[in-house]
Amino acid sequence: MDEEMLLSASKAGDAGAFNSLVERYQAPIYNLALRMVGDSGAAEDLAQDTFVSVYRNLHTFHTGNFRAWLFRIAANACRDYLRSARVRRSLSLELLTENPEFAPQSSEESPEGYTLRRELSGVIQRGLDLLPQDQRLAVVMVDVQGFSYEEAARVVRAPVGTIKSRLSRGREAMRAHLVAQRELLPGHFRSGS
Amino acid sequence: MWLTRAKRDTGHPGTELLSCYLDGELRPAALQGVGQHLERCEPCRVDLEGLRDAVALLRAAPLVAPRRSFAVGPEALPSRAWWGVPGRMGQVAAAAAVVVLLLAASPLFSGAGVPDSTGFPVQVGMDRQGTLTTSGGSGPEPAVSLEGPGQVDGVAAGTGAPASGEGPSGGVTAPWSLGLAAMAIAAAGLLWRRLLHQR
Repeated sequence: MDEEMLLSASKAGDAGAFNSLVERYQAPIYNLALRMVGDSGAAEDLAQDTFVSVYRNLHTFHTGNFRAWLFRIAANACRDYLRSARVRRSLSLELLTENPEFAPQSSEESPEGYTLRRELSGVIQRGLDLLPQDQRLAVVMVDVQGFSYEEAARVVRAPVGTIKSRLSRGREAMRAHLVAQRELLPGHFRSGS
Repeated sequence: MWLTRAKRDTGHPGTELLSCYLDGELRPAALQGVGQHLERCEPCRVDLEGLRDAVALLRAAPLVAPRRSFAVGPEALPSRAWWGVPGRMGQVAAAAAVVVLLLAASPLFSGAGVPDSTGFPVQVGMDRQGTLTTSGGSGPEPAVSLEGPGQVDGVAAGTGAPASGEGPSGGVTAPWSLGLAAMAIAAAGLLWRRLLHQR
């Protein structure tokens, strides 16, 4: 069933159809929240709140880009969380180590591969934590989630030029952070920095 | 002219131009201008490579699988127990409406007078001579006069109304209470809608 049909059925009260949409988007929404707040527990709560909020407000969505609308609700939830908690902290490597999400993904993953993936996530998250919220959101949407400039602009309701500016400043800050963390990067990322 | 967005003091393209160049988001003229500049400028090529590495690293960030599903089940859906108002806000609105209704219905709040020992309202007032008088109730004497002018200094102690609800103030009791209750319910509903749409 395509997205339009799932939306129509969800609006008609079909919880199964709505949960098909949830299944489709839960990983990207959770990852957006995780990269924005840097805490897996809070990211889970924010993702759940997002889908409940979407369900309650589905009648207000008529036409347009559902993905952009969904991500806007998630981004606003993250902003509210960061504002209310006044949290601006970096995710420690210890926390990542204890996080079961970063346990080896399969029995085929080597210990070296697991360590590399964990360190890479830690380096990226610490760099993202250093960015102002608007730059972090632009970087996460475009570079991590693969949004186009236009779609990212629709999510944050800003001109494309604003996204370009935030993205370039965020990338520049990430570049500086990665240069400083060069020894923690995989070999093929060390040379160019 | 692509240089209008470049670092004018140096003639080098700024980070925003390089970032857009990396994504192929420049118009043809700007794309060509930046490309030609990069061919002859080693420092800008280094900057571009640094940005390219940063972007490549971000794109290589592992997608983390959530530990649980976020499917919206009955337990996650708003409770619709009270007029379709979900969750805690519904409970708060219902409680507020009940409290207001109770207050509006109480004799003290509605001005129905103070009941005497038999439970009938007693009206307290003052005559032209400054004598405190009471009326109503069900005792053997329908009215009691208390001698001693100035004891209450001309202030009518109570705005009582007959038990029937008729009288100078009792006549507006029922509509006023209903209006207050309606306003409380409307306010609770508006508050809920506002909170809901903040997201």
